Amino acid sequence: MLSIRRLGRARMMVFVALGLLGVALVLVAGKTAQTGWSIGNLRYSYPAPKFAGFTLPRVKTKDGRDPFRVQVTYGIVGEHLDMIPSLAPWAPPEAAMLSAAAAGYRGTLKASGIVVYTRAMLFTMFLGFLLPVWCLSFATESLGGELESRSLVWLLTRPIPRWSIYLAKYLAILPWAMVFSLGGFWLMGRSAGPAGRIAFTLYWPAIALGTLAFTSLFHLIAATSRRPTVVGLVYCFFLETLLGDMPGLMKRVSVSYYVRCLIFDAAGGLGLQPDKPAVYQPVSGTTAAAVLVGVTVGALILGMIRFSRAEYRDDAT
Amino acid sequence: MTESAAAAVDSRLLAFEDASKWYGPVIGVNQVSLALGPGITGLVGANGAGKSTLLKLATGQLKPDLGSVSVFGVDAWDWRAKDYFGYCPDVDAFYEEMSGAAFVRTIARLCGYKAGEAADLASAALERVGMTGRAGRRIRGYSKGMRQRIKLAAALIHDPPLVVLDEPLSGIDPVGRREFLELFLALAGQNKCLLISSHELEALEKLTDHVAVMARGRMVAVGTLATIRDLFEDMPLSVRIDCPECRQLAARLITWDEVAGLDAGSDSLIVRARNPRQFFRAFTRLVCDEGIAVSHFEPLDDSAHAILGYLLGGIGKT
Repeated sequence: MLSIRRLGRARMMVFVALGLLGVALVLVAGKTAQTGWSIGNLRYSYPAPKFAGFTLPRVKTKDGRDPFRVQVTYGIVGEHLDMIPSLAPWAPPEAAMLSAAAAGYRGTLKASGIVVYTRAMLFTMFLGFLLPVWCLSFATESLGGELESRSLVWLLTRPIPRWSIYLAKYLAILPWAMVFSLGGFWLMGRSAGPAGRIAFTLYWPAIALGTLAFTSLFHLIAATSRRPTVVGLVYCFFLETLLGDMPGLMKRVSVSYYVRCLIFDAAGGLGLQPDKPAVYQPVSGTTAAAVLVGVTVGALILGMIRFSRAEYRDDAT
Repeated sequence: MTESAAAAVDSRLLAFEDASKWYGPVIGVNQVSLALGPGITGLVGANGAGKSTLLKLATGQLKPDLGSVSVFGVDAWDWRAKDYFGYCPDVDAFYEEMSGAAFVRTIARLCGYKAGEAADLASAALERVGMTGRAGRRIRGYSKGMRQRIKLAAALIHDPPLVVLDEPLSGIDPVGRREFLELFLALAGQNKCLLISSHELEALEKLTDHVAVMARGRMVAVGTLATIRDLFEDMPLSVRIDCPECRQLAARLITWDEVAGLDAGSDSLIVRARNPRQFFRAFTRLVCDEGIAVSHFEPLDDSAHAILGYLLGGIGKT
């Protein structure tokens, strides 16, 4: 309880986390209000149709556009599809088929929201930045703050096994990290409308497991490094961001890869999958969950062993 | 444990056996052997002599690279050893947002006491260090002296048989200093072992004449001040003697083997005695037999200051 309360008093860290959450919420709310989360506003272009075998010459305007390529949004296509049944006196079977096609298209547009939200916000901003940074800030403050203020001496000279100090510190981090990661994810979901709400319902176990793994890993870094924040940031932006997107087996060293695999698994019925599944090679949800639990427990045990053996000099800040 | 084994442990509450500690290429403590029983021992030495390293080894914050350190026969690094000692660190580190009372209660809880017990123990410890009326305020607003008192209360909270104090008198006002010294003497009277590192030699001398002197990581001398002073055979003890017939007395004393030299003034002389004990005996006999009127007799360099000066002067300050 002491450690939980002390983390709450590390105000700068809490303010940084809240600030990041605020920025994310503003971005999500802005996008929701402006265009929403479906692919309806995404543009695609196609060449102008041929007329009687005559192909228009390929030229470009000053601004680089090809005037003979048609640019439309998926939303406009839907509107046109809706209009087709009223353009001519279709026979009932054809009219029904056209109406069904238009309705199906509308349904697909509506359902695409979660895919767009997952790719644009969850993978890029939340998993790639917010979640690791939140976990990092709390995990490094827990031990690092005590080391920096030299107050760790009070814990190390009490009749308590050192491994239990390490474990208690980890358990103290968890409520904070969970509140920010799951709470932040929930708030982002509320700001994103229906797509965000569905995403929270489907993905919260993945986010929770990711939080466990990230905090355990950063807590280990805090126990082994004199500059845990720097090492943690290097880990976030090099290992997680760069290696996490590498083809082949390299990406499997990153925690976010397994969180993404869990998300792909959870959203299986919604058509969310990697851009190139053959290259990305996602593992099954069960395997991903097992790896995340393994990372959590493994890093925790390593940290407990390390903390039990390490000397922490009060001049080694 | 048999009675003799218990007695053996009792006389070695804290034991260093050839303990050495390096910080990379720098040696912090070099082959120190020391056994402490009940009573007060002053740990003295220049800055960087290795005192703080020695205390951190004693309190299990550091592990010796060679040798061993034990508290009540338990390896000092082992968490179980920490039941036996209380530690007052020199670093001014607290959970600043807490009140003094809450901090001491928290330390008691960390010692394994239940909430009710911890509150009672905290109250008793705060009363003992004179902080009862001021313990409700936040530590952030405490003066240096109040912070020292809180540290001491935290060290004494579980009534340990060994108390390790690193510069406990630093920042304490004269009244507080007197209270602290009385408290330390009372603790020693309860058969506790106190190891006190301090640069304040006058204060230490009021507490104990048993000191451990460190220089360059080595334990250069351990024992009472008199025993250590006697070891300086080549450093005669200077004694000031005031009497009306100074010159006649000087003429008598200069013939003695125990007297290495003297400076005579009109009504006082400074004698440099080779073997202080023999000199004192002989001089006492002379004064009594011949009725010499001595108005003042004072050894000038048997204080802890002087002894430390000789020790560190010989070895070189670190």
